[in-house]
Amino acid sequence: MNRRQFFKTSAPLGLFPVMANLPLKGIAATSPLAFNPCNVTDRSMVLIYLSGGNDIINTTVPLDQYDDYVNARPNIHLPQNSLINLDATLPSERQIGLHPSLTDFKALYDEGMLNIVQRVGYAQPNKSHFKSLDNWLTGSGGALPDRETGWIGRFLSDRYPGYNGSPFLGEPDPLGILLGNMNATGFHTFDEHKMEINLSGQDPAGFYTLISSLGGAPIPNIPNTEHGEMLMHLAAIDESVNVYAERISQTFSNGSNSSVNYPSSSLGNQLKTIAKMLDGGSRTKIFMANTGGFDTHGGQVDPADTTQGNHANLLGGVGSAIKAFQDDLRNLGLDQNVVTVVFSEFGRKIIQNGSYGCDHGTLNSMFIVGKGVEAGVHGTNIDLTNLDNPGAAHPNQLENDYRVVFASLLQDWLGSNDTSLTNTFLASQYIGPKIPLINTSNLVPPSCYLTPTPPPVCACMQVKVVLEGFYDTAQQTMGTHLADSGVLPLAQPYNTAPFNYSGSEAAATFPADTVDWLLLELRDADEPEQVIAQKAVLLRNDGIVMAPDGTPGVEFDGVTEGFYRLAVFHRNHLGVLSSDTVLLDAPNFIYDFTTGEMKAEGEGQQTMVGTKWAMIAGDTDKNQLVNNEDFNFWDQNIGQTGYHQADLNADGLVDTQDYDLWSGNRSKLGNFK
Amino acid sequence: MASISLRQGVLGKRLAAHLLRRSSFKVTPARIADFASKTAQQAVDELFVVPPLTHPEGPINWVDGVTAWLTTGPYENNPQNGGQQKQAVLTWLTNEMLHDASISHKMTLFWSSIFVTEMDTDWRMFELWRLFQQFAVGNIKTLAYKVTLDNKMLRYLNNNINNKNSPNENYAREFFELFTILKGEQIDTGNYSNYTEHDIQEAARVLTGFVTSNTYVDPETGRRAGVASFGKHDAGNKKFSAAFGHQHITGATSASDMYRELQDFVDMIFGQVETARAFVRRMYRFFVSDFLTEEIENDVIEPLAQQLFSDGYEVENTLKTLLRSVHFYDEDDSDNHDEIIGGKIKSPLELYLSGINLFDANQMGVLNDDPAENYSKGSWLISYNLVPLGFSYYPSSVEGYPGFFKAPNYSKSWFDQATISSRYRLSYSFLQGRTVKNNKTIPFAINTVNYFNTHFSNQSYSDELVTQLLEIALPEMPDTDRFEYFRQKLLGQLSPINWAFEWANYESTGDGAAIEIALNDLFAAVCDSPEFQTF
Repeated sequence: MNRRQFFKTSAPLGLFPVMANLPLKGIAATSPLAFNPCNVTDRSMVLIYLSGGNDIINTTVPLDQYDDYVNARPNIHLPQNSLINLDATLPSERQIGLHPSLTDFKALYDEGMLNIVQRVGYAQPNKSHFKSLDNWLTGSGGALPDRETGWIGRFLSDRYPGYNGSPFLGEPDPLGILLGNMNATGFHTFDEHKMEINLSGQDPAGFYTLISSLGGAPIPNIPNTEHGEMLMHLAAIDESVNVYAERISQTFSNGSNSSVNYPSSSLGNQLKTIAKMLDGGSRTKIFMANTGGFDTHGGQVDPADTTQGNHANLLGGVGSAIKAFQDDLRNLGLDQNVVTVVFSEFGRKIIQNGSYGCDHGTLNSMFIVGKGVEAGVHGTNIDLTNLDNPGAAHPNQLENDYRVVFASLLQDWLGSNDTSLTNTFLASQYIGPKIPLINTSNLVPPSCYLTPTPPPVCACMQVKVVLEGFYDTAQQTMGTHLADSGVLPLAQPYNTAPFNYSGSEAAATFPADTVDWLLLELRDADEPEQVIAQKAVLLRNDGIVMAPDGTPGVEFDGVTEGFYRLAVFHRNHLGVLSSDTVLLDAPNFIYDFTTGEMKAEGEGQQTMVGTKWAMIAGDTDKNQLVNNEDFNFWDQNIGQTGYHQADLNADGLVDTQDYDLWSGNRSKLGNFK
Repeated sequence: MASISLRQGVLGKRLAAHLLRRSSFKVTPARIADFASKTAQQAVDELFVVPPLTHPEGPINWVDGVTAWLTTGPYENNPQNGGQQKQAVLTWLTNEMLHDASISHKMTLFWSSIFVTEMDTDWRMFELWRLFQQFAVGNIKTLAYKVTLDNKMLRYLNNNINNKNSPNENYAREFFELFTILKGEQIDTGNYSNYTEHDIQEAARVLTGFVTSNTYVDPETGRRAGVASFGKHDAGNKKFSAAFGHQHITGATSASDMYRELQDFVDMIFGQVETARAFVRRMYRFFVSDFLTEEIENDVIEPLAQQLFSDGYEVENTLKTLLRSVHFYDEDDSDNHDEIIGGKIKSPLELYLSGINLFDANQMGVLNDDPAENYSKGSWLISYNLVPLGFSYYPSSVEGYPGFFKAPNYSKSWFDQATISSRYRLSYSFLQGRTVKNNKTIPFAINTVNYFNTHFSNQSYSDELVTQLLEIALPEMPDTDRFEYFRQKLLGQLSPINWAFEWANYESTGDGAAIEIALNDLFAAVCDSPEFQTF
């Protein structure tokens, strides 16, 4: 038996939990009402890459130099009266005439949600598309040596130390998602494909179905050869897809867009997907979308009317997609969580070429959009008369290194401290001169900058499970009456038949929110009847298991790495066995039984309470079968109080409520019977 | 120490299959057996015997069923729309790749991955492909010159609108950066070691005035090409940077002299040994390995680059040296099983087209016999199998396919989260004769009973049967555990003796229904295995 086959033997996909919209959103740690800029766990950044090198001069025409503009671009300049005056109150050296097809950018600016950063780039600009994009994504360019890994990957590695490519507590989603055929350079760490999931060309809703139906067993012994290295790569992709596939499909299917009309373009679809996933509860930190066609060497404008043509269509498409995205986020109540950043690998030359276009240039602008954004124009217009030899903006006009822009956002929007920024950009010079891009009410104050904390080292696996009888659907938690009323034993109670577990686990005092004791067993992956290790743990009211001292997670003693499955037993609920293998060597791995019936091996081994899947109540005699003997036992003990086997709902009293639970599950055969 | 000395002795099955997988799409059981008894020299020589094209004129017009559609015109007034032309052309090319026993089409793919253009929907697409075929194992310098004047390339990188009044640098830049000498380290603003921004401007001036033509036929290639238009040419002298020894190129004095000037420019770039190195490195990545160490740079790349340079960029002998070297077969050190072989991930063409041949799955007849039917089936093969697997005939960027040449992942780029689901469903496509996306019926399917009966022997012995399949399907024979995994797929819950009875029953009755289930399970396990993704 192996993890692939588990998928195949799991419950049919039709039993996929119907979860409406609530539960995934419920994961969010903060309520939207109690907004707190110190809490950034719900915040994301969406990066949009305009591929090919956007012509910034025709995108944001420097109104203070209109005559120079016309001189440099006799055939492709935009008529003065066609330009949209962004903001007449700006100082003249920042006065911008937006391209006439950017009405949506004007609207965003007027709503206080757009910041344009001018004269962006890096020293010693490179005019190759590939090298320049590579610089932008790896944090290279200028005097420093080229970097091999991506700055986004380094940022995420720093923020989530020990992250190994698996979901972990509080962060069930992939940390990065790529859409629209974007290459993954920015996310690369020295371990490939750890940080990002590539959804290009995939239907997120069907992603899990597709992936889970793939055949083939993993290779037991991969040789240490070049052939072996390829096989390891395949296994790594396989793993990264597998661990997140179900969650991606869930967030996509559970979310919905508002009635906003997105343009039916590739970018429109990418942003629509992102909004839908965010609405479905996705907490992915960085999304990367892109749209192409900006390499306008020829035919950039319609010769008969320069406000029309290729570039006009491209800009209009970007504007309408971003506006729709922003409106959608607002309608969904998510606009406070997302900042969108638009960039391109370089600007184009100031002087036109003879083909109604212009060639590769140097400096560019970035567009920062969002409700948290400080609206405005940062940086002065490019000086159209200060050219480098081939007619592009002279590199000495550089005012805003792109790394400073990103560093400012990482700090003010995502709360990175200076050390993290140094780790992200592998240099300290981009940290000091921050650009005010986030408005004061959304700015993370310095006192709240995050100090990344390594994952807990003692508890090597996180487990989440819910007990049917104990669960309060109104509160969406399990009751803590046993501990609160002092009847819960301090030492683990599984030392009697049939468990006969002799472990010495005991609590001095119970951690907050303790529900009851559970017995966890590690089972052999191929022969699950074989017990490898046991551990008694406490169950917290939100379903998380914890050590007796309250540390979340469970650690089995003396177990080597390998493929295992996890069994969970309770003294009056039917035991469950994980339908998939669990990871021991991953401190942040979480096996969450509550997200699907199929998370427990076998047919119908969990039942739904509220919006969660739970272990089935009623097995008062601990024989993994709910039948008349359980009823008899209950009947003989009616009226008993305290910590009692027959008290299925843990209210401290054996009564008819326990009978109701039993009755609903009678004749239920457990997986371990 | 890596070595390019000639590998002696017959190849045997493992190395024969390795050579065929890397150098051709026609990887069939019979050819593997044939090459197994040949030496590296004999086998490689055979791969370089390029037969003439059966139908050089290309697809016929399916409306009249007679006219050679793309080479006899009329091109501009064709009754069919661009989409149909594209279908026909790409199906045609795919079919040629499937049938070519030589290295020619593999090299054609190599050139089309270097001299990148975008998808086009008319005859220009076909003509450029034919140019790559013509120079498949020919002279790189001549090819680079001819490509510059190709109508499709002139359009794609805008050189057709590059004129003296307003130079357009697009083609000039890519010619240096991506097509020929390639970019070196950036050592100063605008200085990329091998060339500078100034060189790009001067090159753009050399390239001014070449425009597309629908009628001009280049007598040397017999194909349509762009022409010189002197009025649009910047006739001044051009002076290049120190990277090219401050070379001067004299400006042309007439339209015909523009070809001389262009040739001087191409000669200048190919006069740099660095250009030879750049091509040899790409050949190495494409045919041999993703892992190019300093040792290989010194012992393999450098001597081959010198050979290519002294051969005046005739590619044939350099490539032959590489493919018959002990290095190519991982026999230049004491461990013959740790490098090269199985050390790359297959591109979709290597996975699927070679798979069609390996599994005897091509049931499509001669294209021109039933063009309408075959063109639409062929286009399904492309759109619903190759594209989901991650391949379209023109890369999405002028940089080429990341899987061939892009650091640091090289061939690993072919297999990612976006392609995994299709790649691991290939057995479905072969067994059902349907596409992995959209489930269209296509004439590319395996009949496992016939296949195992025809190509293997001693089939009643389960271990021999599985061994024979793994020998030709996987780059390395798996270890015992893994072998048993595959054999278990065949046997299911049965013992080897049961299988022997099943096979005997099939042989005596001719009824393959029972064994087909087992053979399909084995086939699916092998075809969808990670090992089959590598080569």
